[in-house]
Amino acid sequence: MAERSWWSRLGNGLVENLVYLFFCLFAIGVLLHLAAMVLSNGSSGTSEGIALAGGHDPMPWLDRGDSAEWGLQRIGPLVVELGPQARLSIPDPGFGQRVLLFGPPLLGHLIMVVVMFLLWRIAATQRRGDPFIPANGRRLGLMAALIGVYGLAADPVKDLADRALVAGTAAARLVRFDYLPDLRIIGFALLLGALSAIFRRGAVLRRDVEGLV
Amino acid sequence: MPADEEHHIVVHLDRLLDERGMTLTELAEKVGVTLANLSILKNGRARAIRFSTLSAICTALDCQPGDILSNAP
Repeated sequence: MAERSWWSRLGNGLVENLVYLFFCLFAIGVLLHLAAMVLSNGSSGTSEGIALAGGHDPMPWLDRGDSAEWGLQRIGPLVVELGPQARLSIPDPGFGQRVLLFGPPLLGHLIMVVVMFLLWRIAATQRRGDPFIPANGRRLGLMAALIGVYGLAADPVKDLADRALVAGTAAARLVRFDYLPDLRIIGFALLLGALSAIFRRGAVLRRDVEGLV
Repeated sequence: MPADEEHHIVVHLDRLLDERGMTLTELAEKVGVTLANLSILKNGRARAIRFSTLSAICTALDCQPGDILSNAP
C-alpha cells in the first residue's frame, strides 16, 4: 500500500476527531437531559415546553381570548409576527411529567449518540487505511435505520407525550396532533440505506478480488 | 462462493520452476506479474487466477494449465 501523505493523515485524523467531538456533544446532551429529568426542581421544568403547533395558520383553533396577547410585535422597521406556535410551560413538573417532557428529546439524543458512535468507528477504519469492510456497510445500514426511525417516530412520540401531559386539563384543547414526518430525514435515511447496500456489495466484491493474481 | 471457503487446488509452480531451472523473479519478469503476486500463487494463497496470467505462465514455462494446477481433494 502506498504511503499516505501527511495531509491525508491529517484530514483523516481531523474527520475522526470531529466526529468524536460530535459524539461527545450528543453524549453530554443525553446526560444533561437525564440530569434535568431526574434532578430538576420545578423551575427548570419550564425550559422544555409544549409546542402548540398546527399547520401554518396562526392558531385558528384558539379562542379570541387566547390569542389576544399574541398579536404583532413591531420591532424597529420590521414587523415580526409570532408564528403558529406557542409554548405551554409546566412550572412545577412531577417526575412523571419530567419524563414526558424530557423523554422524547432524550430519545432523539440517544439515537444521535449511537449514530455518531457508528460514524466514529467508520472514521477510525478510514484512518487505519481500510474503510471498505463489510462491518462498515452494516454500520451504515444501522445508521440509516436509526435515522429513519427518528424521522418517522420523533414527532409522534413528542405529540403523544404532550397529549399525555395535558390530558384532562384545560390546555388539552390547545394541543393538536399533526403528524407529518420530516421527509428530508426520511429521504436522508433512504439515501444512507442505499449507500449501505452499495458499500456492502463493494466490500463483497473486493473480498472476491483479493487474492486474485 | 464465500471467499474463505476451502478449496483443494494445488499449484505446482515450485516443481515447474525447478525442472526449468528458473527463478520466481525471472518468471515474474517474463509473465509481467509482480513477484509478490506470483509468490502468493506459488504458496497456494491465491484465491483466483486470471486466464491471462495462467496463459502467460503457461507460455513462459512451455506447459499446459493442468501442469500448473491440480485438484487434490
